[in-house]
Amino acid sequence: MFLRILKKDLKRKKTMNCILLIFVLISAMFAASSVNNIVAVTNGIDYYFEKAGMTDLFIISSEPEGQLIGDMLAEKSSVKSFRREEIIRPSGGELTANGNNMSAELAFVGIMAADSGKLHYFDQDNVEITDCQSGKIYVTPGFSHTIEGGVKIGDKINFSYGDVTLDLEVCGFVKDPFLGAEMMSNYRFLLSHDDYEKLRTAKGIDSADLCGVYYVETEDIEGVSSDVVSAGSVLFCQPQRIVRLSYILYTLVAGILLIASVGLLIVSFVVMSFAINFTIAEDMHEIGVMKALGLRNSSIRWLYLVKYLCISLVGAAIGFAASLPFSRLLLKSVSQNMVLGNDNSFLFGALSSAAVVLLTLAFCWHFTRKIKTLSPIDAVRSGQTGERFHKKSLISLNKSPMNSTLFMALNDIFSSPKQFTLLTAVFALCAVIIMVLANAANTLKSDKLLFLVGTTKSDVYISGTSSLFDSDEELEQFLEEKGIPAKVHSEALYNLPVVAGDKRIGLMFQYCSKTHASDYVYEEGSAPQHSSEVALSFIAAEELDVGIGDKVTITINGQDQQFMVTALIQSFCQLGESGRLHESVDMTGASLSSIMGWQIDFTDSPDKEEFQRRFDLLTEYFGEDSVFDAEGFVDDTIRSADTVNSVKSLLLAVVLFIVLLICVLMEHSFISREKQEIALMKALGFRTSQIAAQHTLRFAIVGAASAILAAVLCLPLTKLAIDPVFGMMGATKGVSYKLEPLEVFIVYPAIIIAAVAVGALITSLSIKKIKASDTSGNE
Amino acid sequence: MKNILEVKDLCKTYIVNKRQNNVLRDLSFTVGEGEMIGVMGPSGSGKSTLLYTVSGMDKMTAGEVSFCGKKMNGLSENDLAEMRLDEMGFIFQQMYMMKNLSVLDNIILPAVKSRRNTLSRKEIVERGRGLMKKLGITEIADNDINEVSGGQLQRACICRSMINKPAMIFADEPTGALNRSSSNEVMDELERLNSEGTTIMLVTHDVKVAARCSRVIFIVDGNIKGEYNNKREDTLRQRERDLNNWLLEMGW
Repeated sequence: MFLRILKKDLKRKKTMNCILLIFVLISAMFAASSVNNIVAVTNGIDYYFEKAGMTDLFIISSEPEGQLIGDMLAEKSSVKSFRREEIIRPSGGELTANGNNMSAELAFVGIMAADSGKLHYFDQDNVEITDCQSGKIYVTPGFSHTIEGGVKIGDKINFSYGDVTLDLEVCGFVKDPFLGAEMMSNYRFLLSHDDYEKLRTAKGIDSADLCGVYYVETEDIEGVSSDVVSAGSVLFCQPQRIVRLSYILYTLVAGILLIASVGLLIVSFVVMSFAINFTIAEDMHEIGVMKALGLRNSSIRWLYLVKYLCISLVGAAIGFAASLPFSRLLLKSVSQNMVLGNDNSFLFGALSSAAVVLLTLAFCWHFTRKIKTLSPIDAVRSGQTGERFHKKSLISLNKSPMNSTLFMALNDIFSSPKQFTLLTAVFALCAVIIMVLANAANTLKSDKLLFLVGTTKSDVYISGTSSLFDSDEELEQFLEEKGIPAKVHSEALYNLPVVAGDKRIGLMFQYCSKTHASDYVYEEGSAPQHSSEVALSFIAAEELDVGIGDKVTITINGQDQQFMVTALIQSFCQLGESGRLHESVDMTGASLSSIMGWQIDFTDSPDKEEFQRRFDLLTEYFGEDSVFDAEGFVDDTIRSADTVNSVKSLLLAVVLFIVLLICVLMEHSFISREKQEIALMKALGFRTSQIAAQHTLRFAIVGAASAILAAVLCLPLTKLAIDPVFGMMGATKGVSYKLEPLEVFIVYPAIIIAAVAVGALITSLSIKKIKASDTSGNE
Repeated sequence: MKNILEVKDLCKTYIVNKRQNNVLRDLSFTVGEGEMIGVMGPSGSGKSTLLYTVSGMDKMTAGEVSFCGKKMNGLSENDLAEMRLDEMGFIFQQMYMMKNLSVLDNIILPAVKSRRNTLSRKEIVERGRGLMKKLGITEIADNDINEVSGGQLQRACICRSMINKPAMIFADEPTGALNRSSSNEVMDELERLNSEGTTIMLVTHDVKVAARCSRVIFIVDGNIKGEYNNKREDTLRQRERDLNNWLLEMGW
């Protein structure tokens, strides 16, 4: 009997049961994929580095005189083990990709044989690359981004060096754990053993082009590092900590993804609880009949528990299966350069799906509590006890000038405030996810972050073409010849040891002799006024345990000099481990780490047209990948706006899908509940289109309310979510975000409202099936 | 007397589990202007289906229905909706109302929606209040529908059916869910409306209700088995008795 009732119920209430099944399904899908993503992202770098076999210390050394570093490491007792990879860093040659001359990028390329890797390299499907076919090549995704339109699998890369020319076909993109992060600005090419040997023995290649990459396991990182550096010919020697920092931008994106996943999880659970509450409320009449017939409360609840168990098991199983590709889709946008994932994804997914089943049953148990308190006849009256249980509507048709469709839509909302508030909150959360990402992406390519990359505002920035001119003056001369009166300066970066008390660290100092220290932004204190004053980043000051007014010793060109800390700054430079020197400090002979690029300031205040002409001229000469305005320079320096934008686009698609799904399912639920009222309206002479308009309008109003709520919450939530991420990059005191009002407050809200309205409209068309004569009919 | 409703060879068939169920079979009758016609018959005879079909709430399978001289067969869903809104009034057994609206808002809703209506919102509200006053329910105007008695609610439904001054009111067992006293009050109102010129067609099981009609048609298995004209000059009790006898002859 029990089973027959259950079977009949499942069959007869197909619509509501299907709706519940779909909600359980999406909850299980989001729960499983979100938990999987949370675990994957939280353990992201650890997981990747462990999978790749990363070591404690990384050294790149040019080896014109053989493997000196290798010999040294072999003799050191503090070195537990080390591995050596040989790479070619060509000092000349020609590189073309799809016909584009990319020779300028050769300075950043490391070429190696795929079968000689001493780390584990992975393709985009996270399959380890152990070999490469002859005539094929794997490149790092970062290289693809340097070409307009990118490089695709099957594209041609032509490489000539000396007497050797290689025509190679791109067969995949390699995830390079050591140099793969875009912040490293290095590209790895993996070739077949034969192709590599051809290149290695090319006439133009000399021993200086061959480098050894050493992966060292040691507990004495500082000791080994200082010995190795002192041996000379070392191009790079850094501990794993620094390599990890190069992945910080991916952590930013992964962190955003994590926030989005938590958001999706909340959305799905809220909606599921609503669906269960709703379906049980729908069944109240039948519950009353069962009670009237003498069934015990526990038997009735048991009946519902079994029913929901059946539905949730099916939903959770399908949801779990769907979570696997969905999880991969979400991670795909951030896993181009990293192996993100977890080995227990199946287990976590299964546990999350099981949790959804338990939660469904818990909701069911919670919402069937009412069965105990209602008398059979109350239940037969669908839960109405005869007492006033409705709150009076806030608006009245007889006092309102609104047209009936708008009034009915608003009245529906005010009459079920809980449901519509819930929907508003859910849609607002969806909109906020996108708005926060848009704010982050817009800020990452705005001049608001110019101070964080340690520069002043200039008319034009030129990067990556330092080989064309030897000095600022030479470039100034060149500009003058072209009829462009301008001043040129560039920010220099010096890696200098700093001591304060017993603390000793290496800091990256920014220095420019042609600007004034007072031209830059300081968070606390005042700009250095003399050569003996210095500004430190908050992170550096904390590490050195000093504050404004304290003294530090900086070694410049072998000489210890005392400086007073006069200001504290925020900086993305070296992820916040940096400082700024006064322009009068004598840096002659100090070892320069790098130059950020030329900054050009026109001295004749050209009008807009002339400005553009000069910009175009410079672009033509230096190439469009090297000439920027302030926004472009920030974008080029941080290089993460595009990634955040692509995550935003992916999440926008996901969010729109969710919003549509919620609208379709909720509107379907509402129609099912309001069938009799709809029939009554039709009987009274309302057209189907008018009722559909009312239903659509109430969703559109909810969409608009959610857009307003999201707009209000947008900035505080952006700060809440993104400030910690910028903090990890060095901006520990937060940043001022760039708001694009049109995009954030108009375009995205409009998209969300449109999705809400379309979802509701499409579903409300099913009202057509309800006839006026259904007024007296039950489901 | 001019006919307001003309029904000719009306058929209505439902297909249930691939089985054809002929609910109305070649049914023909007319309703004259100002008439109050009762439809009676055993359960499942097709009374309500007849009401819904001739009022355009349900589609007919075959036959012809003309309302106010307009053939309903060729009309679109929208035209039928407009006709129901402007020219017909409806009263249901279960006193269906929009549960999120107050009693007065429910009453005026069809008038607010009507395109034919040229009255301002204020005038509509005045008309609604006027109808409520006529039916003695002014005190419940701002109440929620679950705060009033069944009799009051059904009178509110009558007000709603009258708000657009319809040519005809269709009532499906208007007293079916009411006690005797409420039932009498509702029927008094309907009779009063009819005496003022409103045509009424009502479906009922109740002889006491049917006895108030000018004419009663008796349906069995979708066919009109007989028609009975109440003698208006008789007392109500006498009419009830005569009608009861006639129904017994019909196999009631």
